[in-house]
Amino acid sequence: MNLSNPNNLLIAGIYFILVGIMSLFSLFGVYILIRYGRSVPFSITLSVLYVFFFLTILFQSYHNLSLLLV
Amino acid sequence: MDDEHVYLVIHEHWVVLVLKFIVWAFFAAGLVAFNRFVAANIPALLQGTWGQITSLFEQIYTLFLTLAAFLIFIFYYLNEQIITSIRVVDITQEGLFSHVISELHIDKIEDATSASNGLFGTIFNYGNVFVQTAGATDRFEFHNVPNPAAIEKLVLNLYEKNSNFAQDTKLNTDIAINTENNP
Repeated sequence: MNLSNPNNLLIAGIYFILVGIMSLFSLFGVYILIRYGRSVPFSITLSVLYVFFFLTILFQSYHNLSLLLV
Repeated sequence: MDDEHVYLVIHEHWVVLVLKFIVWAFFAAGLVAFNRFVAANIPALLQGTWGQITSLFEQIYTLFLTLAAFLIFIFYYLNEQIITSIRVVDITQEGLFSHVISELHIDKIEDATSASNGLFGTIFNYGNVFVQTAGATDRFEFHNVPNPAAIEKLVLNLYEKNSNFAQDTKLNTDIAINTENNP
């Protein structure tokens, strides 16, 4: 990833802010689900599924970003 | 408490959840429509550097959709009301950072009202239940709960059962005191 170019820096900045906010919300979502959910097995299963799906898309988008910002 | 019995655990009616997911599905359909439109009319947007930018945009949008679906479900799942033989508990997840638990003892209830509003509320039998408490406390509001009339009836029955029990206990105590005083 080449961030010396101002355009690349801008794109990477926007990307990391958006993804950072969404990751933070996801983290808190999983936290409150496990903490306050009535059924622990259900909460953990749902959280694992969600985290797996979220991280899969996140890694794909990061890979795409690294290819874009060369 | 040992003698506390849970009568009902209530969430919003499933139709309300489905309505929220229908709105979510419109946003998801927007992504599919965008893909089809671009493929048919602006194919250059799917090739080379522009293709990578479009793909990155779609992936971020998919992340947003995934998060939205997850939050819709956990707010549905974590908002619940519990009616026991002694208390009415209202658990509200107002946002990611606000979790409120209110408790009301059955003997503090003054009045309970149920209301079914709107087309879907009438068809699928869901609505709001308001439980008025004694004193300065605000009334309890259960929003979009299934079968509101039955819930209202249950709350009032529990109140009557509880007050009858309290009266019986008071009567027994009075009799015991009288017996002690006048053997």
